[in-house]
Amino acid sequence: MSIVFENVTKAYDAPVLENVTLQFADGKITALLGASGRGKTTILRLLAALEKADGGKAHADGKVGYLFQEPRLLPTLHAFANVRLVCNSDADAQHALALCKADALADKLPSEMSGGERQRVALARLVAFGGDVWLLDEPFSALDAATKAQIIENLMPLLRKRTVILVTHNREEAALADAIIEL
Amino acid sequence: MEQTKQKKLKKLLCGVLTLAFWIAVWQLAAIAVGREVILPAPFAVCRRFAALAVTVPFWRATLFSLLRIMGGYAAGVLVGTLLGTAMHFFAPVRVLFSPFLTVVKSTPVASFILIAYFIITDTVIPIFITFLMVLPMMAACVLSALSSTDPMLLEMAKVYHFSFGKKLRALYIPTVLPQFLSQALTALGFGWKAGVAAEVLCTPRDSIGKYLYEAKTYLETVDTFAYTLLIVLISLALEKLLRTLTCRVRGGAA
Repeated sequence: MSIVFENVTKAYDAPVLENVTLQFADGKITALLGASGRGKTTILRLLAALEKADGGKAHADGKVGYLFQEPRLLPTLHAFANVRLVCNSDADAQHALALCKADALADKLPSEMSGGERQRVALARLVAFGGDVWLLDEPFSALDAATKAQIIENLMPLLRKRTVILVTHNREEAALADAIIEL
Repeated sequence: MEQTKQKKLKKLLCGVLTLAFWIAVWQLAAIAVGREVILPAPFAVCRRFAALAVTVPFWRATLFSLLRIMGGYAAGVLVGTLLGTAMHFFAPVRVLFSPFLTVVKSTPVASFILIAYFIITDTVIPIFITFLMVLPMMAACVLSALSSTDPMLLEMAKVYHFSFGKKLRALYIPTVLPQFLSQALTALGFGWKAGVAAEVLCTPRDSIGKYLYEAKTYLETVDTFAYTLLIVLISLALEKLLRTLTCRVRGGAA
């Protein structure tokens, strides 16, 4: 199993996860649905080793790529440089930007982009990074319907090649998954 | 283009008029006092300054003072930057050096000069004092700037396996640079003043401070003013130089 999530407990000021066990099938897309505050992002953060569980086991094996809810682009670098930082060649960065419909943004700074554009560049960075497991936290939330459809079409072959956990509020997006877990 | 020229001309004219106003105030005050030994007139000071400026000792003193103080400043910036960086990344270094920085920042510069006078040779004291004034300023600035690095971007760097070098280039340097350059400019003024003060108290050979001290001792008030004018002019020139360099570095970083 590339992802283990067993009897996990995690609390901040209040408990978020209490003795939670989840199954994520290898090489499949699993959608996590649920209202705000149910611990969806916490699950991703635990699997990305950004947080430690208070109890239980939570880890993802292999190279883990994480798309944060916020784009988290480096503000002093252009879109291309942001993507290029995580991959080995200019061609890989360019290809990733093209797949995410962000090639026209290559020379723009994050401050010169809209929210949707920044999200496309952040997606391109994840694509350029690659990895065995992708943790996606509301990856399409800032995109308009047409752009979202195009990008999903471009990314589906990549999503099908790895284990993916997709956090979303959108049932249409959840329908892309092989399995849905409601929290 | 024409508007920019006009703006520059207006700024220059404004500067000249402001300077003229204060020189006039000085002149009127000198007339009111009526004794050159207490307050010399601006013309007398400028004439003396011009006379000193054609002598070799004047330029030797200027050169050696500059070398000493700028040496101390450069060492203070370098060591302060390294110390601030080490304090950010290594908690024991932070614990160990925080009291040291607090003490150095709160101790009067004159105390350090007098203590140093017993321990080290007079030519090294201005270097040491400038170093000591600049070091805590730069260390505190670098520490505070590094601590203000966006934690969200640090998480992103962790997830995407940034090496330390990559983090330094892409994250830390762009965060620290604006505060660092601004503090380096402030520290230059402090360092220069502290260095000259050390020269006045320790009177090393070939130093502006020594000539300033002698002028005061022999009640050569015009000379005191002339050397003070020199100190102010050098300070302004250094600030201008560093400001130009700063603009270039900022332009390059952007």
